[in-house]
Parts: sequence; structure tokens; C-alpha cells
Amino acid sequence: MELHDLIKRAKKGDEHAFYELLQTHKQQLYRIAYSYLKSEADAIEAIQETTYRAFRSIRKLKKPDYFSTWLIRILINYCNDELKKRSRLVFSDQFVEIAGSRQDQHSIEMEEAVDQLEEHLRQVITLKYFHDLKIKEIAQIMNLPEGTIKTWLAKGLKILKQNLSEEGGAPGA
Amino acid sequence: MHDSEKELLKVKDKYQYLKGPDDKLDQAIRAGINQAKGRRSSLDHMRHWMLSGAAAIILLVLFAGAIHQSDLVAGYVRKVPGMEKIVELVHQDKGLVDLIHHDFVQTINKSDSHGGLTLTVKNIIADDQQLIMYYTFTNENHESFKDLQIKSMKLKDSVGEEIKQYSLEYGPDVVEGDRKKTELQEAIYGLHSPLTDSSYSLNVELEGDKKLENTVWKVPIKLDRSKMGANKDIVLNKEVKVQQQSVLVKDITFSPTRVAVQVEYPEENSKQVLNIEDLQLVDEKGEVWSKITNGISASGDGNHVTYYLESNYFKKPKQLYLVFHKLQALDKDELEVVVNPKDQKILKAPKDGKITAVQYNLSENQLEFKIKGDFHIGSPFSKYKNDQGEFKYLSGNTYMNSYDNDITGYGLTIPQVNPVENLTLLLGSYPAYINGDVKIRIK
Repeated sequence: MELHDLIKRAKKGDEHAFYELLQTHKQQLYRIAYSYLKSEADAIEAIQETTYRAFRSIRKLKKPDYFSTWLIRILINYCNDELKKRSRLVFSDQFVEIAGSRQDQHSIEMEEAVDQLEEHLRQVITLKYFHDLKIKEIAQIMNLPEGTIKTWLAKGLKILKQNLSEEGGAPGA
Repeated sequence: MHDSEKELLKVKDKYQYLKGPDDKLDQAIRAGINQAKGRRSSLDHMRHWMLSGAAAIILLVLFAGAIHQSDLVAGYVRKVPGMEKIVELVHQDKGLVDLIHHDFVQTINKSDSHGGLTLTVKNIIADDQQLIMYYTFTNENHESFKDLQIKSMKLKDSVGEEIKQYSLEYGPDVVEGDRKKTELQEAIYGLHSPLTDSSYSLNVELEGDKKLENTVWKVPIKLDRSKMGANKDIVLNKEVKVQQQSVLVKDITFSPTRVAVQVEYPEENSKQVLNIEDLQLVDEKGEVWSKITNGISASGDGNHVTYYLESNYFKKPKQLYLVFHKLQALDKDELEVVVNPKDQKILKAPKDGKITAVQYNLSENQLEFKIKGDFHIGSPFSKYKNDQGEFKYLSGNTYMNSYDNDITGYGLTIPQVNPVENLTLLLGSYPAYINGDVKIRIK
């Protein structure tokens, strides 16, 4: 069945059509969720929450062409909130074990460098390079002009290059 | 192409071949749709019945039906003004969602402003074990500040005496100058002893911006005792065995915000139990309260550990069981891992060979281990041996990478700067398991 038709039916509240649509998007959504949350269980939960939020508000989707980027935007908003919730600082006068906190979830060098970028730069770099989205799609997801995305990509790359070429830059080591 | 761009594309390859488990994804999609449908239809019901005048009774019935699914409860509570954000913050913990539903959230809404920054404590949840605060920092003049972080957060009683904390958790960044959106943050103050005063003051200092140094935000907090449930304590002293290793469950404290299970591992055990992986409370209907998944899940040391579970304080189950199956345990003579950072060699490690490699990063003064096996809870190393031969806690700065399904990378900043010496580390978590089937009746 044509994607357009499915989106139209889903907008009318047809859950089977909506399920079909999610089928075609699930692996891409999973990959994006995984790159943010770094665990299978959390990525699956993100898919559930995204499905929930999307199905609840699909009536409000104005342009069916934007369905994919709209879905990704919902997912990314959720992932960003999750990361924010996790990154807590914990102080204690004895041994405490923390579950689910951010400090256990960092990643290899490049990813770590990307993680340290400001949120908007991290977002564009992640979507462009890790998930292969087009600048036009990223602009739709983030609701910004394409020119801004291009500027941010260039800025993000520049910062990454600087940070990665710096050697022994750890203060106080 | 820039080098950094090439590096980025390498990361892309890693994700390109990542495939999620189809069946679980399908389940998640179905669950998401059902969740959305469920909420919509019960709301429709409610509206209908309210019009027909039988609202009170029907609402109760609907609610009793919904209560088994914490997601649905969260859905309802989101409708209570001012609670939506708190529900979002706590939704992973069904005990806290339950507590919100039982109206145990206290409204504070008191502020203090300095230099254009306002700290508002919106709500609190308090019991004898914890004070959970929901607060915002608002940047009124949209001034730009640099990397504002909390330097200290102190609770003081009515005579200005500081309340000693057992642990303290809070969000990292305070406010961004150019962002109008104000995030609701959560801070959890672990209490050594119950709060006995009725008026307190939350004092917060920030760092990162010179303009705000030496400024203290002080927000008064008045406690409403009617919204603070007292602890209920059950003394068990019940010893159980999992593959010849004893676990003594000493007592269980039920408080509104969490359930604390005190456990002791007797000295006579041949293995050191490092963790009970799947500790749960289960009632006669099969409803489960699990370990806290976002926040402090255990505290203690060695043979005396307290595990924290979601609270079932407001439930009145006919029967209640403490259940677990899987323990992390290692032979006691295998707990020490000795490495030589300079040569990047492992000199002593558990004989199952799951610690496969160690690397030393001079510039960061960090060790990185590769560890085989399925584990994702806690940090592998808890302590190190100092020059005097005493074991000391490793402080922060630890991190974990996931390489693939089988190998996890684990890094820590080592306390000694000179990497010539061998370093002895003590394992606090390790992917070696013993399995059993323990079910202790509590009620």
C-alpha cells in the first residue's frame, strides 16, 4: 500500500495503518534511539513512548510528507528529556550504587566528543553523520531553515576537529 | 574530507548495521498504540458519565480498573494541574507515581532571586528517608551566564543548623542564558534521620559565573506532616541459601518514597556476593515492585547492603513476597585485580578470564578495561589500595562503553599519578552469577 494512503488513514485514527507505518520506520527509529540512550531496553521503551505520543497526536500532523521527520522529532525530544533526567550529580558520604545514571553511558572517543558538543550542534552532527539524514530532513525535524543547519554542521565539525586534535588537554591530570 | 569527518563516518558504520529485535519492537509499537487508545477511550467514558450525573461512582470504578497499569495512572495524573512535569520526571518509578496519586506531593511555590536568577521550589515529597524537591531556576532578564552549576545545596533547620545528608542527587546545569524554557529539576536529599522540625530553609550556592559568587539563594520550606507517611518496619532475620551461599534478609522498611531492604552476607560464605540482580516485591496478584531504576539503587559496603525498591506503601496486598533469582558472586580470593598501568598488563584477575584487556591513557590518567559478559549494573571496581595498603573508595570519573553485545569497556581515573607502581583494585561488580529461586513471605 502506498505510504501516503497509510498516512491519510492513520490520520483518521486507523490503528492498523498506523501500525504499518511504524513497521516501516521501526529500525531507523531504533538506531537513532540507541545512539542516544545506548541500551537496547531503553531504545525499545523510546519506541513505545514515541508510538504513544505520535498516535495520540497524529491528527495534528499538517503535511503528510513530513511524517517521517515528525516521528523522528518526537523520538528525539523524548531521548533528550531522558538524557536530561539521567544526568544527575550524586554525592554521598558512603558507597552508593546508582542505576541508570548518565556517567555509565559514555561512549568511545568520537562519540564522546560529539556528546560534549552543545545540544543543537550535537543534534545536527548526530543526525547527519550517524543516521545519514539529509540537511533538508534535519531542517524539518528541528523546524529551522536549511541555512542554519548548514552553519551548525560546519561549526560542529570545526569544534570536533579542534577537540580531537588537542593532545593531553586534560586539566589537572 | 576532513579527518574528523572520516571519524564520524566510522561511527555511522557502527549504527548502520545495528538492528533492533523485531519482536520486541513490534510489542513496543502495539503497547504504544494501546496506551494511546486506552487513554483516549477512558477519557471519553468519563466525559459521558459526568454528563449523566453518576460521575463520582463511575470515576472510582474506572480508577480502580486503571490502577494496575502505572502508565495509565500517569496518564490521569498528568491532568492534575502542575503535576504533569513531576509525573514525567518520576514515571519510571511506580511507587512515586502512586504517591502522587495519593496526594502526598506538597506544594511549596516559594522563591528567592539574586542577580536576575530566581530559584523556585515548586513541590516537595517528604518522608522519613528522603526529601525530594522539584525546583526551577529562571533567568528573568535573559542575561547570559556561563556554565552555571550548583556548588552546594544545603538544608537548614529553623535555628540554622545544617541537616546532614546521607546522599544528594541533583541536576547538573542550572540555566542557560539564551533559553527561555525553564526545566523542572529534581533533587533528592537522603536523610540520616527524620525531619522533626516544621520549617526548613533550602540554601543553594552556584558556581561558574563570577557575578554570582558568594550569593546564597534561600527558599523557606514548610512541611505538612499530614502528607508524610511514617515508616513501617518489618524485622525478618531470615536466612536463605543460593548455591551454598547464605543471604540474611534482616529487615524491610516501607516508606512512601521507597522500600529499603537490608541484607547481610555472612562471613562464612565461600564467595563474596556482590549484588542481588533481580530483587523484587511481589504480591498475591503477581504485581511487582522492582529496584529503583533511576537513582540510588543500593548503598552499603561489603557484607552489609541496603537495596532500594519502588514503594508499595499505598497498596494493601493480602500477601507479599520478597523474590530473587540471580546473584553476582565471586570466590573471595578473586576479588582483587592487580594491574600494571605502564605496561598495560593484568597481573591478577578472576580466573574465568572475563577481564580481557587493560589500557592506560597517560594524558587522562585513566585505565580502560575490556570485560566480557552480560552486565550493566554498577561499576566493576569499588576500591583501590593506597600506598599504606588500605582500601579506599575510588571517587567518580568512571565511565562505560558498549562495544558490542559481549564486551563492555570500563574506564576509571586512577588515584595515583605515577603509573610505574602496580595498582590493586577491588571488584564491586562482576559478570559471574549464581542462580536460585528465593521467595520469602513477608505478609
